[in-house]
Amino acid sequence: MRKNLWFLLSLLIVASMLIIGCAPQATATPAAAPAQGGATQAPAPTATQPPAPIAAGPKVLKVRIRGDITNLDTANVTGDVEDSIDRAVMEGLFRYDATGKLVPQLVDTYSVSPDGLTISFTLKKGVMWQGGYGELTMDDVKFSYERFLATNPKPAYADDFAALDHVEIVDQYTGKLVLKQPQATLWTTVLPMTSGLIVSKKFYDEAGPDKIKTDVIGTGPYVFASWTPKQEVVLKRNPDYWGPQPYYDEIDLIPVDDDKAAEVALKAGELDFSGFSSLTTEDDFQSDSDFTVDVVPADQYKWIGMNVNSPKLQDINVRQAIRYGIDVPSILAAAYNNKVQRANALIQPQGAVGFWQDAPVYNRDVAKAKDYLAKAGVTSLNLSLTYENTDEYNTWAQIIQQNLKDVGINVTLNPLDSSSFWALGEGGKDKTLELFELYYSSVVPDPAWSTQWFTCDQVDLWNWMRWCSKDFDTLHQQGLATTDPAQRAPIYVQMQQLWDAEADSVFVADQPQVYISKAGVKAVIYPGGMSPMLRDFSGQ
Amino acid sequence: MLVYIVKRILMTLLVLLMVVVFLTLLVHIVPGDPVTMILGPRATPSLIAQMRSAMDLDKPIYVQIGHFLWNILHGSLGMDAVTGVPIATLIGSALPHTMILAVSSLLLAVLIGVPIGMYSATHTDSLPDRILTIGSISLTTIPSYVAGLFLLLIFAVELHALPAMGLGNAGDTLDYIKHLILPSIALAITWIGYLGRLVRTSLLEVFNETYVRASRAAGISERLIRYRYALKNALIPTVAILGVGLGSLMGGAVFIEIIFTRPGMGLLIYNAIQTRNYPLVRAGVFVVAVLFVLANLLADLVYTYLDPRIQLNKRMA
Amino acid sequence: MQYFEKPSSPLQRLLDRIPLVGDIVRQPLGAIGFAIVSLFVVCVVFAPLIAPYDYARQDIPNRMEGPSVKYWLGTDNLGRDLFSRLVYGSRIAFETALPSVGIALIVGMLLGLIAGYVGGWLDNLIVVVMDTLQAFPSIMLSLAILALLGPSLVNVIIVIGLTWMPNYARVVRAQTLSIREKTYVEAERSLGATDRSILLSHILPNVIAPPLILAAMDLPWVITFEAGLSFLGLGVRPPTPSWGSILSEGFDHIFETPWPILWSGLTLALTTLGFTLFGEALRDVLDPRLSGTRGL
Repeated sequence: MRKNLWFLLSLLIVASMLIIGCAPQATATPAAAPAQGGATQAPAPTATQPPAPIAAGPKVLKVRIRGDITNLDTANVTGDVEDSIDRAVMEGLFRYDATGKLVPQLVDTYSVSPDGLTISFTLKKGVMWQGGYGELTMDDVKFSYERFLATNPKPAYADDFAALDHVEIVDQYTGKLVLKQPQATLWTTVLPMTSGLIVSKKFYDEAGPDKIKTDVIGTGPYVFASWTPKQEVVLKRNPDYWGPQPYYDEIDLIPVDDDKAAEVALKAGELDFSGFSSLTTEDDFQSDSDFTVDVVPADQYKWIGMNVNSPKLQDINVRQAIRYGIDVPSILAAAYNNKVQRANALIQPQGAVGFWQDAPVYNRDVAKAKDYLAKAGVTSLNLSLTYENTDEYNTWAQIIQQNLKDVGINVTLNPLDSSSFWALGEGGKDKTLELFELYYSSVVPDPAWSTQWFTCDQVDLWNWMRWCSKDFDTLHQQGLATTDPAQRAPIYVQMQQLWDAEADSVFVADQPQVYISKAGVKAVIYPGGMSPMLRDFSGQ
Repeated sequence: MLVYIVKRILMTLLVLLMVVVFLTLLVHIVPGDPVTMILGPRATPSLIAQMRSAMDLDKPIYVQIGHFLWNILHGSLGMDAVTGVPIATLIGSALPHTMILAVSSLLLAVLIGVPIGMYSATHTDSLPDRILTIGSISLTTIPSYVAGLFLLLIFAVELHALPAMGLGNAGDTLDYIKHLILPSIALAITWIGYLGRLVRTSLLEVFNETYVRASRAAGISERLIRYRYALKNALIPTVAILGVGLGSLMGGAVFIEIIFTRPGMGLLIYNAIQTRNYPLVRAGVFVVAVLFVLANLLADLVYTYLDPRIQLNKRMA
Repeated sequence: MQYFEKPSSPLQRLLDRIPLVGDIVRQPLGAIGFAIVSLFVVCVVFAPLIAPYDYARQDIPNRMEGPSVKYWLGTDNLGRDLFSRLVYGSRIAFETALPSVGIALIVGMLLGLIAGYVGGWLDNLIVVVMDTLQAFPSIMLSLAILALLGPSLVNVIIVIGLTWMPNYARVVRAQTLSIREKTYVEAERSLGATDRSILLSHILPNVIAPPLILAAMDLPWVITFEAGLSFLGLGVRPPTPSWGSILSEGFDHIFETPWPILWSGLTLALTTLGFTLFGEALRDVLDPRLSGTRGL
């Protein structure tokens, strides 16, 4: 029997090899890319060549995405990763061009009625859907936008078309958007951005609600060629594109959740382009001629919030004490190597509509903080600080804890993993919070996107300070209905002043996005700074 | 023997059933909600309700368990509510990378650990033996994540010698292997030390057994005895341990896959737990448990087959 | 009346050999292990005296510095003294390892005794539950349970106790089974001894040594396991300096400073080595038959 030992041993090894070999090769091959079917199974070895210098092979761009795709459907899109993909594959009536200017895309001519409530337009003729889904017509436009009005289920981005009454079809190429009331965001964040992209009615009807989450077709310069879960999304040049051909033949999007891993990969030449929300080693890249660093201002605001309904924080003096007790510059040094701007109010970045230039800067003053505590008649105070358990927010938390200890406030840290943390925004689970660290960002550049989370009806949802002010709400509505930026700006400054007086927040950082590209790659970023405009990337 | 095997397999099935019940129960009471995380801040109540229902979260526990078992009997692991892709596809794209990692670590451990043990056992109490023994013990005590971080620090961060993340370019085998080196060494280190010690101990045991002494007395050459008889016998426990090893390496792979961002089962399940994607957690852990249990079963059977001295009924304990 | 000579129990042997230290130290590897373990214990007991700074004291201008006269092993990303944090970290390792092994030992022994002595369906039930708990890689089981309970020191202790417990239950069950059948136990029973007295006076003393040795051998694994959970952010809460969380914070800043990873990794590996050598020496002294039975 023992003679069989070696046989068995090798059998074991062969068997395990077989298991590996036979494991299904998971590669989603969408309908839209019949020609490139199975590309990930047997890719040409040339795919490994660096993009620009070699003339012979196809030009491939390797881009890091922050996570795998989850939902590409434009009405329910998950985040900036999906945004970038959608906008490379699909097109809207309008777009932002590479310089950030609003320009027509699928419309040939258009006009807006004097009351602003009717937008008439004609579509470009002969624009074809990818994958043999025929020509783009008004049916597709009507379908794409009226989907947002559905009620069961109501799509996530329904609010983007809150003002839309209906889409009127005049003929195959001519139509009208008829609005119920003016909506400032329509021209800034809806029509030229993801919600404004046109989808193919035929494809959506065929694919059904599950398939459209991870498979898309469009009229754009890139075809969604394949998706291998957790490994890569491949976009290939659309040879039949109606407009000028893009520079890259293929864009591989590789999910790398971790910023550090992405840094290593860039340095190792495994990526050509990556965005970072905070990059402590920016200097390394800046001094390296192999890379180009772009620091793009973004609307990404981070702050320490206080629940004004909490019994311990009801007294504004206690909140003042906390505001004077925290040393924001220390946080900026330890968490960001001083690479980010300090934020002093909600609307960011500097220069955006509604940016409050003269927002007060609260510097740490322990004596003053203690005075405020005394004024509140508080001798000992224990507070919990809730935050998302990442290195960045952990660093904040430990500094806040030490800072407030000096004031005489005892802080217990309560780190939560992402899902538990963000689940606080549902059904009023944030009620029991005391102090918390929070960050929101707007993918699109409009001040209303920032203020919308802090109105009264957001209490129990995303208004975790639970500060409810009728004046603030009125101003928010006013800001939405006003379309002239010059008139909008003072409205938003006034909202921020109301907020500041409440002393329920310590603004910490206005974080720009850092984009690093390998030398030879010319990156283009959408206005708002949050997502790369992949279709316009080129070699230098 | 047959009765034993049947009994063992029935037991395995029972355990797997318990695993499903346990996971469903566990998943039912975990705080944190997948839905807000998946749908984002703009989620509407009707979307949330739809997603809950798609994930079976609105149904009683026994229905969830029934659903899952029904699916399994039909060879399916269900759909992933987040991406709308069959869960089997997600697992199918992750599992091979974990298996490759585990098997290559095991191979490394065998290729390095067994010779170390053989050398030590045949040169007992020599200086190299002592050094190897201490070395082996030290290796067994280095946690895989410490080994992984050290390797990352030295070879990727400081020396830029080897890639630190991911799998490499799809389809490029050489690149894939390059990306496998650091993770598999990190995972193998404990096992190199462990096998080294195990082989040394069992070889020494065999050397003392009667038949070896008898063959020695019969004038069979020492070399032949060592490599022909003794080694074979000494490898029995090694083979047995390899089955267990494959299973435990899959557990250790969690750390390694996180450190080296390898999209394998460990990372898949870790991320699914973090995003509270319950059905994916359950299916993923279930698949790992199946492999784990099967590896143990296989190891057990191989061991029994190789070493009839074992009393079968006692192995149940 | 005593008709049968009772074998001296391993517990008795253990008590007979209280001056164990001498036996352990006589083995060279045992001596190294003993030295490391002693150092560890000294750190646990005298942490505030040894550490030059408070483990939470921040010095942000001097963050992420290498070893210096002021900070012997350098500082972390908040400018905290790494040496002080490592010294205090020994307390966390100790505070988790001991109770969690304790829980595993006590609960496992109890279940093992019940399963082995009572037998029948209860035995089968316990065996199946233990098999189920062991059907997952322990790290995955812990991940799942910690996601349920939330990260904290107590939860980590419970989780480790739970994941390690089946080993003890198995060992004790097997031992109980074999002793239950021994002639002298049968004899006592026929003489009218109660289950309670048989369990307490015969079975317990005879089964206690192997799980105790197992516990000693498990300590280092539990320490690394706790550090691993803390590395994944599931262990103690900041700013408590678990070795695993120091490692994890180091990983977050791996490009900026190697020191936190280096020192905490070395500390962990060295401690594990010390406990392993010590545990093996202890095992060899107490119960040479168990040699080589366990190492993972």
